[in-house]
Amino acid sequence: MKLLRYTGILLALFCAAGFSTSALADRERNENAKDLILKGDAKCTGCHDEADEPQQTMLELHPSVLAIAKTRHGVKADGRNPTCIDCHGESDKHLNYKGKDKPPKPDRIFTKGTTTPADIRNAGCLSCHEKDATRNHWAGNQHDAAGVACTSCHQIHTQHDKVREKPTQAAVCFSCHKTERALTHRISTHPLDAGQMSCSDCHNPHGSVGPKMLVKASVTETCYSCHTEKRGPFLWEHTPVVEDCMTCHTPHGSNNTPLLKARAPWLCEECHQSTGSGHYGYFDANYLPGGAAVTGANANSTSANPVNPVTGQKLKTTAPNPRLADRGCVNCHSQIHGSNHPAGSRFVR
Amino acid sequence: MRSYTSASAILGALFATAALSVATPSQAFDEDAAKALLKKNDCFKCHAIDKTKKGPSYKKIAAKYREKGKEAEAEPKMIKHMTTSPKVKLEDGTEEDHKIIDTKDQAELKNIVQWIMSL
Repeated sequence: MKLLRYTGILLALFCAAGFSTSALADRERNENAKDLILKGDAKCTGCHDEADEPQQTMLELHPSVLAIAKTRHGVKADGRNPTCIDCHGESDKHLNYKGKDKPPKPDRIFTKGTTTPADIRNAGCLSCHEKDATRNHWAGNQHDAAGVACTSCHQIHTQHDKVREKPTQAAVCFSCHKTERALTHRISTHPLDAGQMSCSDCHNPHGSVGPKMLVKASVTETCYSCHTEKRGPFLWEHTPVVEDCMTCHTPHGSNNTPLLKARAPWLCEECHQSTGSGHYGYFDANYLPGGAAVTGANANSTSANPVNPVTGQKLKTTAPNPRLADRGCVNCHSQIHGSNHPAGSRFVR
Repeated sequence: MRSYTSASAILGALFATAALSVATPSQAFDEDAAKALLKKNDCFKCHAIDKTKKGPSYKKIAAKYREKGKEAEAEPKMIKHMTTSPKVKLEDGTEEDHKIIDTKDQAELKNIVQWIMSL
């Protein structure tokens, strides 16, 4: 009798448990039945679904709500992924609006002309992405200080975020950095237009410890990451190469190849004054055709009427401007970035 | 023999295409304009062409008028519905005001109705 009672109790408990489990499963299924991409997105995708996007071909130009399914943020299996309300807010007024006009906008808006402050817009992104080593200097960097939000550059609801793809990244940066865009159209530039490199190869737009938000701690370190042959170590160092490449070069574009700030000899003479460095002797302009030394050495000419000993042309007694005569500095100083030759102190070998 | 057969097939296909084009009534409405106006007014947020959302699908609306044999009433009723904001019952049982479409152009409104009734 007792056994029968226990069996009955066990059977009842089993049935109750089974029923409650199946009822719970059904309820969950019903609640999740309308979710299209992420768990709990039905409250948004109930209206913002494929029917609301009749022009499917415009997905890339105007990223749709559902296009997030094509991105990493749309992977339902990734438990870290935010849902609609994690980024856009609970938006009760938007969801529960029953009036005849357009409903109020969601709590957090990311489109152009938004009134949501940048720090609030960024909070959702940074809650995950600030832990990343390349983004943990965001706070206080130039972009942050200027009120630039993550979505000012990034498009979240699209498979191909322009700023994350090398060929299209520069166009996004240039939409604000117009001077740099103009510079890249000069004859000597880094191959941005060719799609071989992008702004983020040198700059970290999320903040860095280096100047100008460079990816490395200094200009030289950043340049050396590609131009490794300039790094050395050299037996004979050219000081500006070690100190700052931008003493001679400008990174975005120049009309003086290769990306020089000025043309030689003027560039070199900014440090190497012609009177101080002294190209005396044969290389002095006085010894070039027309120079006073040549004129004086010509036994067939008089100081009153000097002639070129080869051509017989009349010569002026005044020397040509040494800036015109000595213009190809790197013709001889070819190892200007440093030399390992025992006799390379002048960077000529 | 083979060329005769293929020529017959081509002629048959051409004839069939011509017959189809004759059989299809010429569209008096502009589908793209209707969809663009509906999209602009967020109508597709609650109505889909063939799917029940918060509101009935456009196909269901068209079928309702056709089944009752009241195609003639469709135009004035639908235009009134779109422009006067009546209280409507949603699929989930709640009620709210129907949105007012942002146009008073009768031609545009008629175009929308004609497009819906063609579904």
